[in-house]
Amino acid sequence: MRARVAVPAGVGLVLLAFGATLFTPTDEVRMAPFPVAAGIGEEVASQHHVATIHEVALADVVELDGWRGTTSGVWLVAEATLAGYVERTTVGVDLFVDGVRFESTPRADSDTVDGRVVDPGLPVTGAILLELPRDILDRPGATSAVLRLGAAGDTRLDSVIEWRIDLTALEHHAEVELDRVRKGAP
Amino acid sequence: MPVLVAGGVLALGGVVAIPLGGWDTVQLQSAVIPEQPIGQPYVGARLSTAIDDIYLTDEHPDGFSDPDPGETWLVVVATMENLLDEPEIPLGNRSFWAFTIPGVLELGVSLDSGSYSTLLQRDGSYGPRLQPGVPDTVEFVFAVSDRLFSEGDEVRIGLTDAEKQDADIYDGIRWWRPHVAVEVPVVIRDER
Repeated sequence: MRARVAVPAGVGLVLLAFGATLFTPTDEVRMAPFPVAAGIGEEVASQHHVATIHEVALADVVELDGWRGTTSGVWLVAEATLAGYVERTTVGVDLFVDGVRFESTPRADSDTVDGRVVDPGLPVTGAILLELPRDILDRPGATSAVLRLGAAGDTRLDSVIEWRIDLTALEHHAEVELDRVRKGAP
Repeated sequence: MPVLVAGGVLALGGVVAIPLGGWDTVQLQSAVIPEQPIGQPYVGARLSTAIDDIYLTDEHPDGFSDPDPGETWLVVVATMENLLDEPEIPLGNRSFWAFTIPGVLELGVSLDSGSYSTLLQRDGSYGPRLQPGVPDTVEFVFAVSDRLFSEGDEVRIGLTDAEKQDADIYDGIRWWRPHVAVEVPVVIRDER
C-alpha cells in the first residue's frame, strides 16, 4: 500500500518541481517597471512626470539650433511637453523594439527635453531624439515599438510612462528643423 | 625494445632540431594572432570594428584641448557597430577594451579618466554611446609621451573579443576571457 502511494507521490513531486522552475518569473519580469500606458496627444502622469507626446516621426537629418544631426541610421523624432509630478526629477527616454533598447541621444547637448531635469508645474516643450538602425522598419517588432519615459538611469520597479508606436506608420522626412526647448505647452 | 626505439626517435629529433635553431624557435600555432588589414571590420561578439587611421597631433580633434608639456595626442580612428541589444560605450572598460595599443592601452590596465577622450567624428560630440545596429566612425584620443611614437612607426593594434555569457550574480552580460583576436598592423602618421 505504501509503495503504491509513494511512487505516484514521488513522480508528482518531481513534476511539481519542474512546474515551479518553469513558472518562476525571470529577473526581467520581477524587476520590470510599472508602466502607465499613454496615447499620442494624451496627457498622462506617472509617479515622476506629467507628459504629453504631441507628434512622432522619422527623419534622415535633424537641425536644432545650429546643430545638424546626421546619422548612418534614421532619427526617431518626438515633440513632447514634460513636467515633474511632485518634485524635481530627471528625464530618461528609451525605445524598445523586439527586446532591443535604444536610448535618446545626448548629441544635441541640452537642446532636447530628455537628459535634463523638470520641475512640477513648470512644463517644458521640445524634442526627443533617438538614433535607430537604417533597417529598423524591417525588423520584427517595428509595428509595436515601446517608447518609455522615466527618471534617468535605473527604472527597475519604478514608475514609467509608455507609448506603443507603429514605426512603419510614421511619416519619414528627409530633414526636420526642430525648435529649442521652451517653457510651457505648445 | 619499444622503449629503446622511442628513445632513439626522440634523440634523433633533438639532434635534427639543433641546426634549425632548437625547439624554442617553434611557435605554437594556436598562439599566433591573425592579421587584419586596415579598414577591414573584425566582427566580434560585442562590436564590429575596423581601424581606419592612426596619427599623432598636437591639435585635439575637439579644437580646444592642449596636450600637457612633453605629451602629444595619439588619435585612433575606427568605424564601429554595436552588435548588442543595448547601447554600448565604444572603448569599453579596463577588463575588455575594444582594442589594444602597445604601451598605451592594454587589457586589464586602467586609464586615467583625463588621459583619453572619445568623439564622434561626424559632429565631434563627446563620449558617444553606440546604439545597436547604428555604425559610426569614432575618434579615440590618447595623451601619450611625445617620444613614444614617431612618423612611420608601425604599431599592431589588437582588436579584442570575448565569449558572451549570462552574468551569475546580477542581471546582464559577463564577458569571459577577453583577448586580442586579431592584430591590425598600421603605420603612424605625424600631423604635428
